[in-house]
Amino acid sequence: MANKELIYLFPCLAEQRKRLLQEIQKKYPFIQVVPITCAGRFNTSLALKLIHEGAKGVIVLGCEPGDCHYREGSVFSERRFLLTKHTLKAFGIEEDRFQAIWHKPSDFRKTMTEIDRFVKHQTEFDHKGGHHEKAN
Amino acid sequence: MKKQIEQNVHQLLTEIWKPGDLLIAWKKASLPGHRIPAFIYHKEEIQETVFDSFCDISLAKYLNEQNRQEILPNSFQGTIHVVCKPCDAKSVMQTFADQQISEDLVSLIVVACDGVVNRKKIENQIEQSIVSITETDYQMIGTDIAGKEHAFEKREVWLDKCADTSHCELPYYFGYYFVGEEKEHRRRVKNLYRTHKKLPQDTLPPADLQKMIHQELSRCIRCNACRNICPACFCSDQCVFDKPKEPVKLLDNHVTTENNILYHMIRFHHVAPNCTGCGECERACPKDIPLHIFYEYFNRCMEEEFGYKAGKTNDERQKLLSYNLGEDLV
Repeated sequence: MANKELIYLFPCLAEQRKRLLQEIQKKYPFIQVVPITCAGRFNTSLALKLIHEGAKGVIVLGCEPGDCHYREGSVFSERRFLLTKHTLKAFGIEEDRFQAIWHKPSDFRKTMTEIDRFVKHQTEFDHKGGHHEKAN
Repeated sequence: MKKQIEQNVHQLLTEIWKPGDLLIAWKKASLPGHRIPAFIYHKEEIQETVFDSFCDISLAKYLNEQNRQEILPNSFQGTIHVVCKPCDAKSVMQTFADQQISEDLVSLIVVACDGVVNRKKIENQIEQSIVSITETDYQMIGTDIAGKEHAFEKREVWLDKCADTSHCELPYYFGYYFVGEEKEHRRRVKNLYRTHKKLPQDTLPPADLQKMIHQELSRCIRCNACRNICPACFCSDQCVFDKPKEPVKLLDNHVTTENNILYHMIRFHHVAPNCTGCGECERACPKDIPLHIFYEYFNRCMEEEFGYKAGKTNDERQKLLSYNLGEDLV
C-alpha cells in the first residue's frame, strides 16, 4: 500500500488549514495529504503499517493539546503517539520517521520550518541508505 | 508445603461454597506434569482440584465477557471462585479495571506460590520420553521410560518470569482470600531475586535488532494463540485481525515474515497499556518465539512514561483512555 517515495501527512481539518496545505503541496510534491477529522481519531496502526512497508515518513498535524476542537482529542493522541514511537523503537525502526506536529493553525511560518526540518532529516537519512535496507 | 496449601484451599472452598457456584481451578491431566483448567459446579468435586508447581496456565482469561458466556450455563446466578497465583491476580485486576466483569460476581483466591515449572525445560533436558514428574521442596524429579531418575533444582527449570519477584507483588485490593502465609510472601517479594534484565533493544544497534526480530518472527505461523490466550485481549469479534473486509486493510492473510512483523507490531501496540507481563503469550506459542523482549519493553515504557503499571489495582483506568482535567499531559 505504501509508496516508498512518499511522505504521508495527516492534517486535522477541524480548524482552517487550507492555505497551509496548499503551500506544503506546492513546495513538496512528494508529500501525500490525507485529511482526517481530528488528530485524536488517527489510527496509529495505520502509521505503523505505512512505515513498516517503507514509506519515507508519517506526519500528523494537530492542534495543541488544550486547543482541540473536540476538547480532549489531542491529549489522547499525544499519549498514543508516544507509545507508537516506542513501538517503532522496540522493533528496531527509526522512531523519527513518525512525527506529530502540534501547532496553532494561524502560526504559519513555525509549522513550515518544522515540516522543512522533518523532510530534510528524512531525505538525508535516505542518502545514507538507512531504512530501506531490510534484514534478509 | 504445597500439599498443605492445597488442603487449605480445599478447606476454604468448602467453607465459602454455596449451591449454584462455579469454581475455576486446575486439575490433573493424563500426561505427566500437565495441569488443565477445571470448571466445577458441585461441592463434592472440589477435592479433584490441585495446586502445585505445574499450574502454569493463567485462569484470568476465563473471566472475560466472551469466554464467560461460553462456560456459564444460561441461568447462572452464583459467584465465580477463581484460584490464581499472585501473577495471575494482576490479570484479574486488569479485567476488573477494563470492566469485563463485575467485582461482585467473583471471589478471588490468591495462593502463595514459590515459582512455577516450565515443563518444556525439563522435557528438553531428558532425552527419552518422560513417565512421571514429581516434586519435592526444592527439586523436581523426572523419571524417564527406562526408569532412570533425573533431578533438577527448581530454580533451573522454572518459568523465566519467576526469576523476577516484581511479578509476585500482591494487588491493592481487599476482596481476595489469601492462602498461605501472607507476611512471609511479602517479605520474599521484597528481598529475593529482583533482576533487571537487559533487553536486546538496549544492547543491540537497530540494524542488528531488526535482523534478530526478522529471524525470530520468520518462524511465526500466525496461529493467533498469543492473541487468544492473552487476558488483555478482549475485543473478541471486533479484533482488527478478524476483519478482512475493512475499507483500509491493515493486514492480509498471507503468512510472510513482513506480515508477521506487522502483526506483532500492531498486537503489542494495542495491548501495551493493559499488559501485566504475565507471559502467557510466550508460554502458549507453539514455535517458542521469545515474545518477552517486546512486552517487557512495553511494560517498562509505560512505567517510565506514564508512571503506570497495569494490574496494580482494580479501578485504575488506563492512561490512554482516560484524562482528568489538570493532569499532566504526558
